[in-house]
Amino acid sequence: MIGHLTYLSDDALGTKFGRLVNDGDIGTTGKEVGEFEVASYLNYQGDKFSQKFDANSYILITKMLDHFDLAQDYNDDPAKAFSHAQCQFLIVSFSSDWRFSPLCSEQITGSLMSAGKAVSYVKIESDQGHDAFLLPNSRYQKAVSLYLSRVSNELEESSS
Amino acid sequence: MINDTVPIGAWIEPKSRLLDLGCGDGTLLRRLIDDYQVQGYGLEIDPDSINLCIQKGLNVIEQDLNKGLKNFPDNSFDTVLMSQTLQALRNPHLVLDEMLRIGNRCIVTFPNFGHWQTRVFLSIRGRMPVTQQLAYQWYDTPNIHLFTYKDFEALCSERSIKILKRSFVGSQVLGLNNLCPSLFAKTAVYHLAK
Repeated sequence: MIGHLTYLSDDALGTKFGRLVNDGDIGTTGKEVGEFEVASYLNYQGDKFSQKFDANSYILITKMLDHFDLAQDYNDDPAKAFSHAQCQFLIVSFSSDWRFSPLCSEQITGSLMSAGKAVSYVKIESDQGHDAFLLPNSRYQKAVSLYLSRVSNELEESSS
Repeated sequence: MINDTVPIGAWIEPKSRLLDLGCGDGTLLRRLIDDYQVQGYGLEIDPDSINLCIQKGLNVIEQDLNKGLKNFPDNSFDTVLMSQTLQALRNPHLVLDEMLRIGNRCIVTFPNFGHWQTRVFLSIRGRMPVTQQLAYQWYDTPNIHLFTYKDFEALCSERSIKILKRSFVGSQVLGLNNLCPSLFAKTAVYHLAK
């Protein structure tokens, strides 16, 4: 449930549920009367999740994510860690994403600039939290499509 | 748009690291990369301009200059460039200090508000000048700090900023720019150091 929360944003949850309380529709999903709607929503998502996945695998993956340290083998200097990169980068962040916050993306962008790598960075306004990267957003789509057509042009040029 | 790349080019080391603050649609940055093979990055805030930069194959970073440049380490660029943007910033003097912290050298260009056309506009018509270069009404202009090249030089001396070179762009008549820049320079271009 906590994992699920990190994919959403304050605003999105506020609009969807606010302080709505279940007023008596006990039935299908075992809602309790007087429970916040947001709680029964999260309970429902939690149940669904635990039936589909082994919860231990999720704990393990979460731990691995936590322990990942980009700059560990490079004297804690992320610019050095990126120095081997051969590719160009487009970094996109979403204003309401607190799973991968704009600040983190900005640090990555800064390290890539220090490493002298080709990088562009855009920060998209969105109230959809981490899920925003999967949802339609005209500015996001425009930036990614322009970037990809540039990549495809460069590939065509280099192969011809 | 006035071509202010002529003096800028002479002040840029080929293949050096260049940061362009307020790079707009990236026309100038693109030209400097093509002509001098600099490793260039542009900072911009306007989404449409950012898209145009992406299209041009530039490295463009979305960042609001008014919120500071603390994310850039000291002396991390050879040159920090700001073209026609100083007058639109909330705290131009603080951004200048930051530019000199980040860059070994800085290049700044801005419209000279003392140009005779703006003087005539204000004194004859009694209204704020709307010219080709300052093409906005007073209420919707992004240019919130209007100053002359003399004002800029006073600021440099106040803050102990070294003026390495300066150049004026404007009048078509040969020599007038440098003879009396106060009246004839439309754009002032400065090469600065700490």
